[in-house]
Amino acid sequence: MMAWLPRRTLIIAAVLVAIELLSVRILAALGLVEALLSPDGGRALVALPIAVLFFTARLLVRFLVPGVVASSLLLAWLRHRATGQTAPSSPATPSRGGAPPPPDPGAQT
Amino acid sequence: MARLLDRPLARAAIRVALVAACAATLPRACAGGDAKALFRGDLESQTALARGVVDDLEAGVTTASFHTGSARYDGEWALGTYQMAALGLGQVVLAHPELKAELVPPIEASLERLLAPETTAFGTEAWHGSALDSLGTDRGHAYLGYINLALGMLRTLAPRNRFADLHDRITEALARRITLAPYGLIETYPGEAYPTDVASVIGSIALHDRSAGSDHHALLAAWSTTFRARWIEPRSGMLFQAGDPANGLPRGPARASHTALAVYALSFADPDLSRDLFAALQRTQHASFLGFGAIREDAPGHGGSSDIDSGPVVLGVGVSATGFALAGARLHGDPALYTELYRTADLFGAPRTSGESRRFVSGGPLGDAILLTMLTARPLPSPPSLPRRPQ
Repeated sequence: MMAWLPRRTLIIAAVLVAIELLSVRILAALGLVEALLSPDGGRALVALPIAVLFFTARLLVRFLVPGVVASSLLLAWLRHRATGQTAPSSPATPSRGGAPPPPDPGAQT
Repeated sequence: MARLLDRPLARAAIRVALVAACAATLPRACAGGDAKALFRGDLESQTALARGVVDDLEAGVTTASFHTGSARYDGEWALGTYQMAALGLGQVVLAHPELKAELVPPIEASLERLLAPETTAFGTEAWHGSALDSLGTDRGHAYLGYINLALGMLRTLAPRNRFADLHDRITEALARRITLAPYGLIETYPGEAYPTDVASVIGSIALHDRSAGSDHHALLAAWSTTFRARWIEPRSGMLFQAGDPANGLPRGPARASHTALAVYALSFADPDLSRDLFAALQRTQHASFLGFGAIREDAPGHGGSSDIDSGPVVLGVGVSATGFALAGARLHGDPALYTELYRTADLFGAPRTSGESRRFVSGGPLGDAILLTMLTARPLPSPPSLPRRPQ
């Protein structure tokens, strides 16, 4: 069921969203500005990499991930449909991405 | 279709087209969510920001909270936090009087902190004397303009408050110093004078006129004329960063962060001058990418670097200028620019709602207070019909 979904892309997208959500919580609890300005270098050492991680994830999630996910879904769906139309009786044919074809032949029509 | 999908170029074209389409439409929609409500002045949006600032204040902000590497800048940041908090919270009360009972106490607490000797110790050290103890002298202390603006905001909300007498005395001292300044500029520190600081002095005098019934109309009009002639760079229409109060010559480049803050301060005194400065920002400094707006720091032909006032300058765009310009966009009715700038503040400020409060994760107490004030900036209502006192 739904085996045509681009699982790797979706997992990476979900991980990036999780990183953004988690790191913003950590930064809020830590106090980003206070930590960076703190004379206690330890706080800054913790805050800085988290801040870099957060902003990287945030920019990717906002600007790149939606398009990558949408295009991956579209391409996978088109391939799924095309494969279904050209080879309805050969469910064992491997797809180009290496993912197994949909097990349900009825879904290929 | 299968053959088409077998072609790497076709797949790449589909990917690029969708990534570009999504990048051009989705981020601006996500980041601009609150902008319309804030521009309208909706109760819920403004209250959440105000409560975020109150949370910051309750957590405690002192000069020791900052570690810029300079005791002066630490002090300026603490002063800026309390001043902006008082102004921002006051603007929210003006928009939503039902919040007066909740927000006036933190405004008063901010003023107490603003006036505490440790908060203004940076000025005391520079001048070898306290600003409040030398109100009878003609020494500059132009940073008093920021404190006086906050006092004026409380006076607007509560005309009979415990700071009223001090408000009167500071205003008269600043007005006298401006009167004596041949080029309309008084020093912030010995040998240092900044037109933007003086804009806050002028804004605070005008706010005193509105809230306490004094009349400095003639002084303010004469000052505006001098200011336009001396401290605005003719080509860009932006403010010079620094000037020499003795000979009336600029000492620094024209910069957007100073201009944008002056747009806000001067809105209390000379809305036309404020509007003209804002128009210069719109005309020469506005940058936009995928619906995210920003303000370039340096006027065309002027070079500069990041400093304590501009904040980080990235690809020519100033963090402070971008944040301060929100006030001009709201004050002078440019919802499109307000929305663009807000998207940028949202993207990099990372606002986070917790309970009834909304704070900017990467702003800290100073960033929260500045953004509250800039996002809620508003033309003041007509002054009450107070008896006019002679200057």
